[in-house]
Amino acid sequence: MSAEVFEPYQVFVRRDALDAMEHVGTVMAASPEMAVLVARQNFLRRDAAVGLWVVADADMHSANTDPQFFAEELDKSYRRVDGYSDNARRWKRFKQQALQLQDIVRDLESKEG
Amino acid sequence: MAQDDKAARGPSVAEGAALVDLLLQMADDDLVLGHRHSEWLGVAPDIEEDVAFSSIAQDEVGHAALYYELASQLGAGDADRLAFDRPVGERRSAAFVELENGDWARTAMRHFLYDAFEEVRLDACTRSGWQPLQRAATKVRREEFYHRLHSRTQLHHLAKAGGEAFARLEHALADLWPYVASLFDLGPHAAELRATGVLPADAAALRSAWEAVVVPELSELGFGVPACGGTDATSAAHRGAHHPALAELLTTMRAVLDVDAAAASW
Repeated sequence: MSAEVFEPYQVFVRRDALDAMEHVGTVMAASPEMAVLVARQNFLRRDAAVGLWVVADADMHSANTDPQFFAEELDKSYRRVDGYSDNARRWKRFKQQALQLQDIVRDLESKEG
Repeated sequence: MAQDDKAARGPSVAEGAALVDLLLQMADDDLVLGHRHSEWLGVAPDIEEDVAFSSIAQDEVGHAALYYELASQLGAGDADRLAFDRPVGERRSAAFVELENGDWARTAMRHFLYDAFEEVRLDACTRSGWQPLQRAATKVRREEFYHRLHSRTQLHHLAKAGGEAFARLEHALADLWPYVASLFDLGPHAAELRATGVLPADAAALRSAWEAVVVPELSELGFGVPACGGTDATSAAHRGAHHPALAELLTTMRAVLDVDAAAASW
């Protein structure tokens, strides 16, 4: 196989009309047409699909591979939604407290009356 | 299965023999070429093509299995026995598919010429009055869509590469052409198959439909197409006249069966 003739292509498959394209692997091929043909057999011999893309590596634009590009150094927990996960429990507790408060208020009012 | 169709009543005895012969032609062609294709497993020019071509080979064997099963339902015997256990003399494959692969160019050229042939034969079968064949052909034809696309794209790429690739293809075309006629031998029951509507086409019609597809395409790619018609090597023009390479192919295919016939099961 000659490097000047064969190029790598990234292969994407859509399994169902409602699914997004999913990256499944890479093929080497002499043209986009041949890449589509061999990708179909290399990744979909048995599985059903409704769509297939191949993208030449040369046409892909990647992020800088320097780890600093993806740097996450400081606490980012304030951006996360994890804190909301026990909302239901907190809301229930609050309602119970409010109910107790109302009971006390009502009790005091009845004594004053 | 609809009660009013011919299949529900079943073919007459005479029609049955004609049908079995046609089914065995189709099955044997696909089995033998599927086997030839599979010989590239592990040694195709690149790994992706190795996988793709092996998958095509498996498809062809699968189509053969479907036809053997139909023949079996008509009383021709067990489908696996039909595939593995018939001597050369009973085989109905065409010499065209029996020839050794040769180089990758000859394989590609044969793939192209054969798939175009299958297309015209299947097209006739999709108009068959015998519904099991009509249904099988409709299904197989949908799978053949990819095969045609693959064989045409591959041929175009190799031909347009020029140089050695083109020269090898040109050589392959000259080698293969004399054997083309064997594909169009529809056997001793051809007239009956046509008269009963089982295969509503004759050999001449299939051949001209095939030539209308392949000749312009080959010419466009720059190949000088050998003269059509009467110049075919008559020795290879009949399905009974098997290529010597068939015997070796069958020996390979039956290797396990020959070790222990009783133990061989599928």
